[in-house]
Amino acid sequence: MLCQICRANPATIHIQEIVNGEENTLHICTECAKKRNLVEENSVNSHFHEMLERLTKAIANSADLKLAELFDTKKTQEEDESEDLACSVCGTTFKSYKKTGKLGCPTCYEQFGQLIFPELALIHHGSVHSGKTPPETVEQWQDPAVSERISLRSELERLCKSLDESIRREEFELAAELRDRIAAIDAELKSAELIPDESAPEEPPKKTRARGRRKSS
Amino acid sequence: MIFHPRIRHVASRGPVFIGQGPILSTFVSLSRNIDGFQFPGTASANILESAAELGLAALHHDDVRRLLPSMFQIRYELLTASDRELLVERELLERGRTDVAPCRVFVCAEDGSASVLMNGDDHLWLHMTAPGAAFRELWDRMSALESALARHLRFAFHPRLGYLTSSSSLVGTGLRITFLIHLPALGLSGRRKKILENIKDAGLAAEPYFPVDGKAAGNLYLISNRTTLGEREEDLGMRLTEVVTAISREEERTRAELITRQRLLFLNACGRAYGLLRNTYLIPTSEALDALSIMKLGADSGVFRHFSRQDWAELLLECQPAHLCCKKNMNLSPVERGEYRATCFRERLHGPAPAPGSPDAADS
Repeated sequence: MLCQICRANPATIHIQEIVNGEENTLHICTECAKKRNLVEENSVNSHFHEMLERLTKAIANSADLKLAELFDTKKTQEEDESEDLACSVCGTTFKSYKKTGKLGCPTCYEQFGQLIFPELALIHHGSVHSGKTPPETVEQWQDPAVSERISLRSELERLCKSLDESIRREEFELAAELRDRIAAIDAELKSAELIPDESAPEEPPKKTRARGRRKSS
Repeated sequence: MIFHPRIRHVASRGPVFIGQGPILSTFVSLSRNIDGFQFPGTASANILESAAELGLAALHHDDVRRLLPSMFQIRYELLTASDRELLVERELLERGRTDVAPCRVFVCAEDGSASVLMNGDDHLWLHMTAPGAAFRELWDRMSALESALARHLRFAFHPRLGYLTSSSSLVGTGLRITFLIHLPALGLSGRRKKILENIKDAGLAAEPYFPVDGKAAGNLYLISNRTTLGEREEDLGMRLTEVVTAISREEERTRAELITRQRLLFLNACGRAYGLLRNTYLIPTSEALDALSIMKLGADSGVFRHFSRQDWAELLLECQPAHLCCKKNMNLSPVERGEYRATCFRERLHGPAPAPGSPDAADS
């Protein structure tokens, strides 16, 4: 993790503060902390953090990726404006991501890409995935019944949006038609018990009785 | 009935926190989302229902089923608050996931060794537990399960960022590895705080297993990774295992030193902890966990020859709120729980008091 102020040295000091109920965490290096008088010059902690920083710097330098070189992480005016950027699929804004660290859908990663890549490099061990990868062939849609119900639900989603739109435009005849189609699809979906709850286990374990039987046999 | 029959059945299984020495248990979880679907935080009920159905269809394939022995599924809203608390106490459910949300489904192996939560923070949260330091074994099982699921589900994946998750802190591998570790001697020596601060700087997290006023009741800590991008799963697991093993060795070394140099104080602490639990009539969870912690220290060091790790692990689970309610099969107020907890301890420790002999270096 890199220092959030200089974006060059590894962050070894983590400061958490709560202002007006909002929690903020600052990850910084010893140098920046000293500049801002956040650590005492000769304290034990200061020496400990310096030692740790030398250690983590050595690790970072030996790694293939020099994150500071990969990304120009200085905040620009464009980035300030980009806080209003919203995902076209789920509506999640970049501002809300910065506040919660949560994204709304896989497309958010594409749409906020250049803005979040440097952030990810700061909070993780690196910036490129190097673990498991999915197989090339996936038989996701092989069950026709599941496939049909999923397309029905997608249709239901689309109709609900159209219904809202037609009501807003005061197209009440169209709205009535859409309402009936929604009710029909809803009934069709509800007729199938999709995720049944399973009943109680057939035979709960009774250790003492089992032992008794073994003894008598 | 305040507990679902299936959950009662899981609660009747043996404890999982029975590792030898300080490392009691390992938990591994993997977060995955289904491609083309919004994450649960923003998705509508229809989308969530579709994601749950796809996930369940994949889980019911034969090659997946054999990896989750005798699994069962329950719609989340059918689980009571007590059920969910009990699952958290057994580490089968994440602590922050006890709220009811639409289209959530809980799937669990009957032996309580694995669970799946659908539509939590992500579409699928796969979770496995094993006693002791067992990352390698757990990862082999988890990787096999994930690979089997990936044959039937297209997971949201980015060539550069890896598996996409709702929280950017999990993107990449989506893997969270956690060790439950017992550190009483390092606590007594005053070095625990510094050691745990050091591991935080190495990109790991250390938090109390049972936090009470910012402190860890029972000297139990959860140590886990905070980073998921840029490191292979096996490398992360080995790195974390090395750190936890080093802490465990330090704890054992400190224990040996404590027993040698302050033998009388050590025996006194063990005897008093036993006496408290043996004779109490009302005891809160944190006090019980603190006393159990000393009992474990004594058992590991050979002071309590007739008090095994298994006994200790059973008591550790039994004394927690939801397990007490499950045993009694009724909701209990904090005071009622304190009374019933004390009764359970007196019943379990009713035999003759173990004579504190000379403590061994370690439990054989």
